Amino acid sequence: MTVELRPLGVHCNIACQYCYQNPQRSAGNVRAHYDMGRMKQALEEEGTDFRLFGGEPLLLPEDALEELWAFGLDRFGSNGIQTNGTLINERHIELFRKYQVAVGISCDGPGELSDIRWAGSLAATREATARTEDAIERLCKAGMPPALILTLHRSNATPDKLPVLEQWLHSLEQIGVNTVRLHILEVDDPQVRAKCSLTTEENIAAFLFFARAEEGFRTLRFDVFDEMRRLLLGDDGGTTCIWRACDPYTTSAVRGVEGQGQRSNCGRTNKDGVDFVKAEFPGFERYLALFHTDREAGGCNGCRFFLMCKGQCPGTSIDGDWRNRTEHCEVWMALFQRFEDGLRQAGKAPLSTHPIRAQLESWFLDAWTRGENPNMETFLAANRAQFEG
Amino acid sequence: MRRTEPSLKADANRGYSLPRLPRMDFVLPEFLRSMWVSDEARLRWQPRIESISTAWREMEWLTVVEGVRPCVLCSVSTDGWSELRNRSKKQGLTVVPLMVQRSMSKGSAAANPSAMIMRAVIGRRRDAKRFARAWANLDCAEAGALLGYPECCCRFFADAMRQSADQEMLWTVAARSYTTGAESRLLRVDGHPELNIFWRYLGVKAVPHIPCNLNCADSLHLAEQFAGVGRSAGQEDAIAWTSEILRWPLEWSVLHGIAEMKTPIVKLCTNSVATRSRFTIRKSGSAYPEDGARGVDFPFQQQTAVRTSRFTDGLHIIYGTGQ
Ligand code: SF4
Ligand code: SF4
Ligand SMILES: [Zn+2]
Repeated sequence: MTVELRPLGVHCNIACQYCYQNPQRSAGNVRAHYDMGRMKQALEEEGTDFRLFGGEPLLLPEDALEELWAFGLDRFGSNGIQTNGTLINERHIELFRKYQVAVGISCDGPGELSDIRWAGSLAATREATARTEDAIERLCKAGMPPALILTLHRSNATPDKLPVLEQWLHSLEQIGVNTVRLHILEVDDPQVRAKCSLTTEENIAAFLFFARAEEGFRTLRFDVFDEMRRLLLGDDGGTTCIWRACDPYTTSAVRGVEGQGQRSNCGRTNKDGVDFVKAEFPGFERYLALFHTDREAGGCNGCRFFLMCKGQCPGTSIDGDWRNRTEHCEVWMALFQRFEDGLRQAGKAPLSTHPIRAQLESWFLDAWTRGENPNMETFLAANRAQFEG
Repeated sequence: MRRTEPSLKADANRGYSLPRLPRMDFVLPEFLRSMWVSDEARLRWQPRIESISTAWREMEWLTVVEGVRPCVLCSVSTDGWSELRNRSKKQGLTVVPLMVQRSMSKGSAAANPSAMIMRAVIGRRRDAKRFARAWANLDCAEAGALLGYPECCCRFFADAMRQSADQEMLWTVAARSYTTGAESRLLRVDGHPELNIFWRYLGVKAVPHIPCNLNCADSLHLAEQFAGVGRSAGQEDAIAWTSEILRWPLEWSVLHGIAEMKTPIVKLCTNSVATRSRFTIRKSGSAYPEDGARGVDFPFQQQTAVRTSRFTDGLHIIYGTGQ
């Protein structure tokens, strides 16, 4: 579980064309006021380390940042931040070091590859991207290499751009970056979709490109691929929320704390532009329904990867309706197929084609019906002999 | 939008056929979960909704005491059973148990399988016995009449049970309330606020039954009688809040066996018919709560002034103006 602290709500200094928080901005639900006392009280109640989040959290004054991180280090032993990197200055880097802040930077590549992280004009956008690139380098030099979130779209992942992106990642690996999370562009706005989104085939090609390119990296890993391989072997401990049958009414993997101490859900499900308060009880109806609903109707019935994928993140569902499976189904399916082949060639038995799969599926359905969300690991540990043949 | 009496297709056997949702062959377990738009909205409206439910149970019972109708159907926890029997007895009423069922108090029935509630009928001894017989014989017309429901609504309910017991009653009623949209996947309805049946999920209602359509005149009359009894019993607040809530816009939709209802203050999901595609009802409103949310689409109030092209105007510069 991650606690995301959003002191300034979705307030940001740039305007990424694809940001999943845009519905909230369009609805006028941007609260840029915070109350330090209330936030700390809420964090105490959450009782675990938190990550500063936005919008852009570095819009906070430096003394407020210091106060929060001093609090975080004292109470929970570590800190984190997710930033677009455009505002990082030397003082921030000092604070990151002093308060053990793990830095995550969202950046879609060098120069023009990041143009859809729009900063008002082309010149300002390029300048902002240059500042982010510079910040990554400075962090690496300071011995604190950031983890990257890289969203794939028409500006950076068409066949002509992919080699440029790969080259850039090699140069980042050399200076110390070793974790990259690849994201598929999540699109709420039809205009943005038409202009920025890759087609399904292009998305598949881009992800497969990186799956192949991965071997050429020494230390840099694309964590989503590692997770998918592990999932195929039933190892789902510690995998990220997108594979974990996330209930959009409680989004248990993400607990948001807003500027006035209010609790909120993961913003990805926030298609109405309303920052809903978490429901009291979790439920897994989406997964029961997807299991039984055929693919033409927006479900996952009959898919051999269901145990691993479960219809994926509800924030990426077809038509923005969480009751459907992810709109990126074909991309994940193509990747699962590729990793399934790879595992079989390596003499391993992926769950997708294992005789135990049907039993494991019924076990999940029973658990979801009871309102529980189990791990595959638990079942497989109890049935080790049957699983390992 | 036209408000009319229901448009019903001719059917040689039954007189007419009711609108149906095409469904898949699975049924989800029962559940009901909700999320509030803000802590402020929850703090204000959750206690109000709870007191509306409590007041409504009392009003239902009082309408029998006051002779508005012969019987009331009620659900009571095993703990509340003897108190209900004693106070009914004081008014010359008999409580006849009908069945025991699981309670849905904790989000999902499966999460709390042990909580049981009793369904029972209360009325003068003869009426209650007659009702129990009608219940056992599935005689909707007789049972409905004893509960004081309008005849048109009893007839509709009996037809609905016969033709489409596996259907979603909300859709059936909405589709009958609007003549031209009944075959579409999006129904826009208004109807009398007192006959807004969507809030029943949370116990907010002005009539005890499912009306035959959202403009049924006899049901509206019954709503007035109930409110009259409630007011005489000092339930003015509950009646005013109910009236306010039922005037808000809402959107109800169903997909894959999950119904979702969005209102200005709370969103909820519950089990329903497993449809292959999404079917939506938009019920217009004539009021909006002060603490209702702002959002990007119906039923939320939209702030057109802050809608901005800030997020998209760079697209033309990056990609040119063509597609
Ligand atoms: S909505 Fe998606 S991103 Fe958010 S917690 Fe759920 S799975 Fe994770
Ligand atoms: S790959 Fe597609 S069909 Fe299979 S579980 Fe994932 S979303 Fe569903
Ligand atoms: Zn009627």
